[in-house]
Amino acid sequence: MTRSFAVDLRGLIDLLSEHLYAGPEVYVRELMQNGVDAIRARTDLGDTFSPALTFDVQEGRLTFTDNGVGLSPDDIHTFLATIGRSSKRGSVEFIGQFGIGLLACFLVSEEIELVSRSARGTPPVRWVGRADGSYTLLTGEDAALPAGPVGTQITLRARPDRAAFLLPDRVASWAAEYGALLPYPVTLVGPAGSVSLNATGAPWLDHSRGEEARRAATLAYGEALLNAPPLDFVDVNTHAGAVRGVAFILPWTPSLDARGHHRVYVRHMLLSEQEEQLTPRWAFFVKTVLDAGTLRPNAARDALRDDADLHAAREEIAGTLRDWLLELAREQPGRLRELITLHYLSIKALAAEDDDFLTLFLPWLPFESSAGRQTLPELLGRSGGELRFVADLNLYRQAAQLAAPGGPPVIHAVYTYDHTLLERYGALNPQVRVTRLSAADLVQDLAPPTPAERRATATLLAAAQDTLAPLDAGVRLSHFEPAALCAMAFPGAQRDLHRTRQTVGPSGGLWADLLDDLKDVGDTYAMDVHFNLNHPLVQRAAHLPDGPLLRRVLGMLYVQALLLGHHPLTARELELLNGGLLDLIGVALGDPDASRPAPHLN
Amino acid sequence: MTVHTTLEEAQNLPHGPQRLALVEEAVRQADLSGDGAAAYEARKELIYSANYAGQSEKMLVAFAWCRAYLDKHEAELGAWEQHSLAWRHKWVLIATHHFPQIPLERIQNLHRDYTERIRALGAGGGTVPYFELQLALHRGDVNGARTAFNIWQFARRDHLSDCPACEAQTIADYHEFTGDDAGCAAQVQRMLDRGMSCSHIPHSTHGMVLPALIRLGRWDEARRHHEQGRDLVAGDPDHVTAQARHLEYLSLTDPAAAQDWYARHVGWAERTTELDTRLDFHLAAALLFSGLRAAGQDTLTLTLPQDLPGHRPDGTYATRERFEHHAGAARTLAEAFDARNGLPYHAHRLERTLALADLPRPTPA
Repeated sequence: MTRSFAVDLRGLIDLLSEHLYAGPEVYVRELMQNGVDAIRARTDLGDTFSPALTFDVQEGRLTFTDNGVGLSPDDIHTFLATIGRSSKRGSVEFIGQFGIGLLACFLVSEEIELVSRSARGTPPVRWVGRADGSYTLLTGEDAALPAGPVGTQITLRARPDRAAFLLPDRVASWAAEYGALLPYPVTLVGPAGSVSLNATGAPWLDHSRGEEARRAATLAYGEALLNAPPLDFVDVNTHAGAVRGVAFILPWTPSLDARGHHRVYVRHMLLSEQEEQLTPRWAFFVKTVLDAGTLRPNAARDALRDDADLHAAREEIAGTLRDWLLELAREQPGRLRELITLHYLSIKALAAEDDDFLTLFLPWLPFESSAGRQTLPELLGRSGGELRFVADLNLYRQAAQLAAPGGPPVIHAVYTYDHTLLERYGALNPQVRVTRLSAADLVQDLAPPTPAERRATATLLAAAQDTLAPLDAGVRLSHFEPAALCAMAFPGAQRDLHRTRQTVGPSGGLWADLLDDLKDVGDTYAMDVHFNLNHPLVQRAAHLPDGPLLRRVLGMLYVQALLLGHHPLTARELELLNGGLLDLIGVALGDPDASRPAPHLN
Repeated sequence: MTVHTTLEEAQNLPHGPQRLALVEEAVRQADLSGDGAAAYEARKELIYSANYAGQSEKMLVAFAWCRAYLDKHEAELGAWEQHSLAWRHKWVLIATHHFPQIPLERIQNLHRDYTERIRALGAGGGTVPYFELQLALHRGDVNGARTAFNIWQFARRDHLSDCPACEAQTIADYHEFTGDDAGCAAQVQRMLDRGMSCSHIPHSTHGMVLPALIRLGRWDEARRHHEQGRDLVAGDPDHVTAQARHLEYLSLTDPAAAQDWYARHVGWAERTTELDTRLDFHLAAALLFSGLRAAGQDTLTLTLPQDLPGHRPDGTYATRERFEHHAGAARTLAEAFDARNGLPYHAHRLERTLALADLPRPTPA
């Protein structure tokens, strides 16, 4: 025996409203969507008529009227028999969508009354459905209906708990939001009379008053959208997905949170204010308003369906924006410069993805460097054809200290994309050497002592090594500029690991073992300190015999180098600083104890 | 700038090297100020940012610091903090797979330590077998994987379980591991139909299912996943493995596009210290260059980063030299992993990857 499920329609509606829809107000959208689809179907038949949608809202009763294709008795039977199933009519999934859309009305009304007359000349129908799943259907003469105009009229009566969803001003604001781009009138008739809800339509499509008027109206739309005048706009018109719309150039640099919130319509009906998929991800310099003619929404109608058409449309939009930037570069370099000031991150993001674009735009883009914010040609001009960059903030501090004014600058490539762009630039331009500097490279730039100097400073070096090795610092003597720096401290590649290993302690168990596993064999010290043989103090220290005073001086110079490099001090380094200071003050005051070796030095 | 404003600024950035750099700056500021609690907070953020920037060696160091700090300041930081750190603890277990210099015994001890700690927090019924499964999948331990999978499937999720999307993808991984490519593809389709997502998913999902679909000859679906997934992972140093999968797909379907994709991503792959993701990329690159050789192309022009091993300023490379570099590096890494893991699993991956080229190709549309 075959039986059918007895579906609890009420329960189903509640489920839908809780899990699929954003809120009960979507019934307004669904009514309008049904109307829009019906008008499209009637247009496809070749009928000549003036499309219109009307909401009539009076005291808790709402009547929505469209003059679209209407429903024949067969249509009604099909949709009742197949609620939830998509059935195709022409290019529009009409009846199935119609049924799904209609069900949303149960979110606000216990009863839906539908009166319709089909453009195909069939007799009118009257259907009354109730949320308990029962319905009555009258067709043709039984319906005892006057032969009204072609189209569909749907009447709802507010559920007591949902009365607020049928208030005229709220219905007006939702309908205006969903239907702002509809190319035919949407009207609300309320107690206060009749108002048009979409007076403007899509201003960028209105060529009737000439290009200047179109531009002005579009920019005015953009100003209302952004609450500030956009810098400009770019027309969008794709083949895939039939997307029409505009991309407004933002007059500010958007924060991360504000990126990717685009207004997208599907077949003139608002889908989302936060659609992210249709615009390329690097395009955070624009806010787009797009109407996707043939792309499809997901089931909840809150985003586009991720399919091949969507990808193709996004590619075309990316191409449009890219071409606009290229044209700006060619035709209006002054305006491009203005745009780059605000939106260089977006342009860098695009350049990181696209070699041609990178080649063309990289000369315009700013990079932070030890010589200030500079473009690549400026940097190349100062560095003799080599680009040196650092991708680590700690290291950059030391590199910037060493970069002599007027000498080759060091680029601060810690920011997003900079590193990728420089690497890619080097790959595309092998004649330009692009070097990512490590601590070892910086150290190589320091001039080592001559053999004679080496002999003269042997005691100094040995004392320094002996003093600083317990602090996990390796020592070298070098010549470098600026001569005013006594010493410089460079973090080793694994400084944090070394320091953490000290924090965890010698018998730190599992975690100490793990850190030891990760320790690179070649990396012996957390820090490398270079004493500057150009500095008079270091030269004088080289004449001191090895003893407490020399060791104190070296320890203090090391801590000073750490402080100048903005390196955090460990507890032992802090102890060294305090002890050393007190000792030196003691020596200065002639303290007899101060000449004895201090306990904090070895 | 204070530690907290630096951290806030970092949290407003997308995951990647810049965010990590700013968090490291916050750690430095906290250490400079000598404020232990701020240093702990900043390092917790460093664990997170390093994990999502593909630099888990930094994550491990920061975690060890936080673990030691929390053990010393337990009373002051409270029970909630144990949960908060435990959530990050699981990333440590996964990260150990990347580094063959960490011995297996240490990894097993880390699992035991994790188990004890999260059991003490009243969790772990599901997560303990889940991470045992992950380790077995990495080692190529078929029996271990089967046992852990079965225990995990009957366990209850708790507040320390991995996110549902990641767990769902692990089921797909397991199917692929056991040779059930159709099961893997079906699981991925279920995930996408349900719109499952997190910060790694579906970015990596589209790539992970490609080899299964290629072996099944379902080229249309593979193309769809390639198109949907490539933009999500392109240029992101946290997605080297997914980039490798897309490289394999392109090597078989569009060698010219494969060369561009290779040139764009090989720099990150060669530089990452996460050696098993580097291995994934070497395998895919070996497939690319073996295919080009088989097609009779002896040399090719590539714009590669200047610091790449074997870089040539004129941009002309011998296909054979590139193949040998990647295949050789893949073998060396595979040996290191197998020696650590005690099972001969990774050594076979090169053959398995190269065998993708012997499958029937899609018929041109």
